[in-house]
Order: sequence, then C-alpha cells, then structure tokens
Amino acid sequence: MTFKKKLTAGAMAATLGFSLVGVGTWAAFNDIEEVSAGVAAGELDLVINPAEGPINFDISNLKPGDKMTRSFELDNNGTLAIKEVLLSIDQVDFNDYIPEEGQAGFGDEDTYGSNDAEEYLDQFQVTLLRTGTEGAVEDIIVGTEQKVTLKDIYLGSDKVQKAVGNHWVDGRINLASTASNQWEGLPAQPHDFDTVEMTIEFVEYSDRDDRGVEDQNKYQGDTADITFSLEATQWDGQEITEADLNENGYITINEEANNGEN
Amino acid sequence: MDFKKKMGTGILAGALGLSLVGGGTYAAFNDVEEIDNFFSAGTLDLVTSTDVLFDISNLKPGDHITETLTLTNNGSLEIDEILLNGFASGWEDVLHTHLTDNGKNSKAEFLSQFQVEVLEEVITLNDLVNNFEDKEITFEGTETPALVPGESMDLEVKVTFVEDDTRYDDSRLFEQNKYQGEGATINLRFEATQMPGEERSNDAQ
Repeated sequence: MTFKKKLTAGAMAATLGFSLVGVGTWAAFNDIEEVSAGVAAGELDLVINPAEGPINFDISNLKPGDKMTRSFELDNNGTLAIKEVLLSIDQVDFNDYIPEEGQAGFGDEDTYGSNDAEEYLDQFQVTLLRTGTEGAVEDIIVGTEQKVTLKDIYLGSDKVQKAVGNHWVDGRINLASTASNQWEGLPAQPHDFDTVEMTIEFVEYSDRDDRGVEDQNKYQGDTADITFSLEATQWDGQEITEADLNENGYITINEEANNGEN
Repeated sequence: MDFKKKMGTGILAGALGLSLVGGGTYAAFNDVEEIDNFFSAGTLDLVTSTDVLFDISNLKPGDHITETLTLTNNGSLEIDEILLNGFASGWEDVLHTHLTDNGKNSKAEFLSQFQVEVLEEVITLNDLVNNFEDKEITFEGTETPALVPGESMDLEVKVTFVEDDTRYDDSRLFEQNKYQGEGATINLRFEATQMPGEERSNDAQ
C-alpha cells in the first residue's frame, strides 16, 4: 500500500469513528407535546348522630314485655352520594347464664335453663323500624304481625325480606329512604339526612311445661352484646361526560342521588 | 550539458518559481464559476388539540371518562411515529383512621386503580407511568409516515376508576376505601419522530 492510499484509509476510519460517536444524537428532529390528565377520588362518609337520647341499646335487668326505642340520624359527611345504608348484625357475643354458688338461681334449673344465642335473639322482636325525615317518613317494619326478631336480622331470613319489602338488599335492611326521587338514599347534594327509629320488645308469651314452669325462664340472666353494622354504599360507577363537571372538573352529579338521574 | 548550463537552468527555474508566487497580480487566463447551493431544514411539529385532556375530581369506583385528543402534524416534515409515555405528579396519601391499616397506600397502588384504554392497549395508570417503555401508538411501520404534514389523527383515551370488591379481613369495609380523597395528575407525553434520513435529489424546479 502506498502512503497516499494508507492516508485515505486512515481518514475514512476517522470519519466513520466520528459518525459513530454521534449516533445517539444524530438524526434528531423530534417534537414533544405534553397533555395532562388529572384524576381525584371523592369521599363516601356516613356519620351516625344521636337524634334523641342515646343511639344504642345498653340495657340490663330486662324482663319479658319490656320495650325500648332508640333513634339515630344517618348523615352524609362526604362528597359522594350514599345509595344505601345496610343494616346487619355481624357480631353477637352471647353468654348463657349458669349461676355459680351464691348467684341468683343457683341449683334451681327452672330459673335459668340452657339455650343458645339464636334462641335468645329470637326473644327480641323489632316492632318498629322507621326512616326518613319529617314529612317523608317510611315505615320499614310496623307492628308485631311480621314477627321479625333480632335473630331474623342476624340470619338475614326470608321473614325479614317479606317484612321490609324494597328495603331488602342482599340479605340486609336498607335504612336509607328509598323514595325514587332526588332524595333517594343520602345524597350529598341536596344535603339529606334520615332519622331512623327502632323499637325492640322483649316478647312475652306463656308456654308452661307440665310442672308449670314458663319456657322463657331459661333466658334469665342471659346477655348478648350485639353489634349493628351499618354499611353505606356508593351508587354504581357511570360514564362521566363534560356536562357532568363543573368549571373545576368536579363531578357534581356524584353528589346527587341516582347519579344525578331523577 | 555542462555544469554551467545546468546551473543556469536552475537559476531560471528559481526565477520562474519566484514569479509564479507573485502570480496574483500578474497575468492571467483564469475562469471563475459559482455553484449555488441551498440547504433548508424542515420543521417537525406535533400539535395536540388541548393541553388538558381532563381534570376530574369526586370520582367513585366504576366511574369512567372517555376523551378524544387530536394529534396534528403542523410541520413540514413527515412524522414517522408517535410515542407515548406518562409521568405522574401531585399524589399524596390520605389516611383514614377507621381502616385497619389507616388507609396507608403507595402512589403506585393508587395509580393501579385506574385503567387506561388507548388504541388496543389496556394498561393501568401505574404501568403507564412506571413500567412503560415509550409506547408507539402508530402502527404504520418505519417506511410509512404516521402523519404527513397537515394530517391529523384522533386518539381516544378512556380512563376507568376500576371497581374492586375486595374487603378488609373480617370487615365489611372495601379495601378501595383507602383511596378516598386521593388524586394525581398524569402527564401524557407524546413524542413525534422524524422519518429516517434518505438520499435526496434536488427540489423540483
């Protein structure tokens, strides 16, 4: 190879090397545009306020025939409309009374007997369950005819379903008003609350055995700690369009009953 | 030739050489030509129909929104492909003390609650932001431009707040409750690229 030829080859190699170095950036016309998309979740927040007196039952020394009424207010403290408030009894802590020495009824089985939690819950009949606001009150359960007891609510039995009609949702009782208008459930807008009133009666019946001992005697001294669970549900998800948003992109119709469709 | 003569030629050559150096001012046949060249770079300009696709709040699980974005080639060069990527900002954990885990969650978990459908692709916002190579959203291949100058394409983007009915253990509370009140802004970044370089002939006269 002559010197001249060598030189050319060398120069070419240098050029190649140079373009390789530049590969990352070489071509290099491009354009970048950014488009933003913001998403923010709302809040579903049920609050239970006292309406008149205490909201819970906490009563001892009961006897058959005793009756107690409690009321509480269901309020929407969130930004999303509440569709239903579902009542169920999820937890029962039952204690069957068996007296020890020195306690009442010790040695006298006629006065305490043995029974299970469901039998005991069956002694408490719900004679009134009512919801709504003044002027628009809905009776969910009224009177003794339906014979709905705490046991039925605990089990979510058909008896409850029959009694509460359209307040029945998947084995639970919907405590929110169901009137099909803008007030259905607990909308955040217009702001709504429902007052729930519940009366429970320790049923009284006479059913004596051969010796004249009342059947209900076996419930003497029994206790049950019952937890009412109230679940607030959201309305179904929906297609959101520009018309559903205010100027800040806030979905106003999610504050309203039935996704804004009355 | 004798030595003297040789020397004379040498000197003559030297003199000639000398006079050539001074040639600029000296005589001359010459000719000058000019070649006019023109190199003009094109423009590659992608334009989106809006800067904000949507900015929505007060969402609940199950809600979904569909928006159409128009991408236009506003430049003079053909656009080869359009690549999509995403970045998230503005997220903050909102705690909820009534939940057993206090409603603690990560940004990735929040973004995973949103499903994005764009063209054939169905991914979560989290995948879009974190586990996502630049995604080509045009399918014309390298030989064909995605958008020629002046051309537009509509891109439909559907975002769904996915509904998940998983509950906390021994509770009626849904796990998704932990996302209440949280939000994030996603920047969708569209990159337009040029066609590969090619052998060019002159502009038509």
